[in-house]
Amino acid sequence: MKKIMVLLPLICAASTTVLAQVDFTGEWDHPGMFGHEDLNDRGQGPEIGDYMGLPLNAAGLRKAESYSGSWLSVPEHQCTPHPAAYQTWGPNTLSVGKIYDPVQRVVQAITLYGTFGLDRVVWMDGRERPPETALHSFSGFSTGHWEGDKLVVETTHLKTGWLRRNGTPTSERAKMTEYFERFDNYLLVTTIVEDPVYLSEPFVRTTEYELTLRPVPVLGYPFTRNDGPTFYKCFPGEETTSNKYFVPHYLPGTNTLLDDFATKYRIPRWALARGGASMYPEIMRNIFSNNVVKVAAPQVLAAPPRDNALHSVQVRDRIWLITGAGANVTVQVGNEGVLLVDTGTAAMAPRLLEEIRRITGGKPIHYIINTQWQADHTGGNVLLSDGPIQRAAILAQENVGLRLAEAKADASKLVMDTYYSDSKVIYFNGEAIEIIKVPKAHGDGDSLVFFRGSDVVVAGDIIATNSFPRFDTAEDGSINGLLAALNRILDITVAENRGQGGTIVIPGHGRLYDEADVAEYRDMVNIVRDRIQQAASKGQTLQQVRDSQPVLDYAGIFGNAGTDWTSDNFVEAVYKNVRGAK
Amino acid sequence: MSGRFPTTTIVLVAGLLLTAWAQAQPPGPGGPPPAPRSPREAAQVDITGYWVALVTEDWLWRMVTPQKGDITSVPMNPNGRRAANEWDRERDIANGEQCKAFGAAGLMRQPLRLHITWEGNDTLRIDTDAGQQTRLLHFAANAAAVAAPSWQGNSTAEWTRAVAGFDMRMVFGSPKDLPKGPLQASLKVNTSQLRAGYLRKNGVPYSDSTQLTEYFSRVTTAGNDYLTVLSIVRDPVYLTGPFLTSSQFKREPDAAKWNPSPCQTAAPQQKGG
Repeated sequence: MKKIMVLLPLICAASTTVLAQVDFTGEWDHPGMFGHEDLNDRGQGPEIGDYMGLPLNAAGLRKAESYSGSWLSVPEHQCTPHPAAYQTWGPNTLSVGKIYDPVQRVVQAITLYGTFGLDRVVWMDGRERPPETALHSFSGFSTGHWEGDKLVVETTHLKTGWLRRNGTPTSERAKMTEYFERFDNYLLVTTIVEDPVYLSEPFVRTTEYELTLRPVPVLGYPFTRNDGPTFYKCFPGEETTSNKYFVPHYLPGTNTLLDDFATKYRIPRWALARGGASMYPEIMRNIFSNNVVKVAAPQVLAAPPRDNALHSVQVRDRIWLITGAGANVTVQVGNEGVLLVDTGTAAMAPRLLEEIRRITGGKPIHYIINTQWQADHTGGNVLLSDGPIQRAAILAQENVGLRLAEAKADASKLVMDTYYSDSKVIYFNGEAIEIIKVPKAHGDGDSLVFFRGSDVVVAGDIIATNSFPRFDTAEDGSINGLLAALNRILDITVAENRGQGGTIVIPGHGRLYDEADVAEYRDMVNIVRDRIQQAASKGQTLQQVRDSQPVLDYAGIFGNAGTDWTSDNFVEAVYKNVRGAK
Repeated sequence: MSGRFPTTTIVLVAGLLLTAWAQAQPPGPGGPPPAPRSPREAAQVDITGYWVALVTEDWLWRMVTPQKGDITSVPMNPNGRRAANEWDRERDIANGEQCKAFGAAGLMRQPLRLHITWEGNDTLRIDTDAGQQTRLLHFAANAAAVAAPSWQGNSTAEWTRAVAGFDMRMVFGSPKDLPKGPLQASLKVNTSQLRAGYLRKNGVPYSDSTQLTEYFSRVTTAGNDYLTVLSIVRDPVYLTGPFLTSSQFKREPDAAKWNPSPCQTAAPQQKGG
């Protein structure tokens, strides 16, 4: 009782603060269903070329201008939901709920369900953000806190998305802050998107809702009157008879829809691509006086810092990813022991071995699969294959062995179990594991590793999420082989819902991917290849191609400035490859 | 069950009631009553300063002048549609009514800058550069009497709190669960006695019976201050129901970009193609 009496003043003090909190729970709708502003976003979608009022930098504008509406017919993109940065702007209703901690009975999370978007969960329990290597999603990872009456929601781990449904992009590096404020029976959502890749300054917008008593069409009604559940689960269909790997896009200078938009609204063509300047009142003076405003150049983004530490993340029950040892290392552990895909560098091998023992409880390593031969993938082979009774078997495509021997690498002294046909299959720890040859890609020894039961694909250096993909023509690598390998991965992956989740892809370097991410990466490689190929076919020199900035819209994500594989390296490699391939 | 839970509950409820009671009481007789705080002193959020409209939404209806009769997404009734179709820019100019699109119900949607200051302790003043309009938001109840309708009408203001909610975590949770930062209120403004004007540049009308309710709020992210304004226009003459829009402004450090200009509406952008 004494304790309680001591607490009483504290309770009184706290309760004045308590009353600051607002209950948003309930069904919310845009006034008049479609709202009284932004109708183009809630109806048929804005026109291609309507970039007005968006603070896009030159990279964002390039990506927007490349966008083709046929993008939505690509199998991997068909089910893409409205990303979180767009969701409240689209034709959506909003259902706000709460998740209570089952034991403490306090609010653990606030849920935001809306039409066309994914169900969002805003964690209110102070949990940490996922690591850098974690999967991104269209809804991102959101945490919330109160600032007085305002619910503040911060979201990261977003996938590549859009600000408008006309290809105006947001990148996976975007961060979103939302403020939810209730005024009587109205809800105001202020969304602020910061994106160092595609925006020159934060993008700010506000959306209003009114409390509604009628059932809101969260499940799609009336838009999906006849196919509600199917629509929401959504599996891709065959929408065209064209090549399923076809990536629709406009090459620079060919998107005549931009001219159409400018003509229709009597806006000078240059004004469409002014980014942030178009948000401010003075843009109209500039338009009327034909004072061409300069658009902001994209930031030069350095490669993310590396901390020289190993980081482990559990991908699936049996599968772990270890980063920091060179290339990514995949660990499969089960009753039969341990299987590794790639072994990092020789220098990191002792620490890697310790980490593997920690994760697996010291179970013996029985198999090592190398996705290619280079030292950041095979450097640990010698130490990690060394068992007390027998060495682990090392599996790889046969060219891996040949390349290791040519390089006189230590790993070449080990006996390898190589294959030369299209694939090799083993069964270990209760699941089939396919080792799939992808020829002429990064080099001539690349393999994908598909854990069938775990539904995980290890991509090796076919994908590096923090750089443009490397390939070495001296080792029979090629840009088209890389593209074919990426499409091969997409043949395997199956999204769980709305284009994301499902099969997880572990890249050679960087964070975890799923089908949507691989498709975006594939699109990037395809688009850049097409741009450089077109320029080369017109007889442009390498310098001319560089000057045309064929990777302008992707350098902020994959440019990796300051490393040994930059945008310039990639452009040069593609240029030389497509010239040689003529 | 032990007696502890009921005791805890009783004390908790007593604490909350005590707080509510204490908050509702006038100053006690034990000393001189504290001087009532003026609205300016009571402000829990500072919205004074220079602000520029960020026209990130409805650009084609706000930056440029839409075509006559374009009432997209405005809930107009037949009278309103008729009036919108009868808009004549040249007639407005001839009648000296160029400011019809700069009346309070349409003003905050214009691409312009605001300068918000306190005029005394009871009135917030909003000046605009485009249209050179002045709005006076009166906190004092007795300041409401204004003789004739005007473009900016008569505005009464109050600091307001959102609808109260309750979360037991605030009592039983740890200090990290407590809201961060000072409590923030918003500004609610009711405006009436308006001269008939336009919701949009192209003559989408509101009548002199219009009631305007606005909620002003401020958020700070990434080193920038933003002012948001939720506007609710109620007009029994031309609208089928409330017309809701929200607009956002970014704080500017000074008046360097302040560019006063009289009320003017460009000719509609005639669609080509």
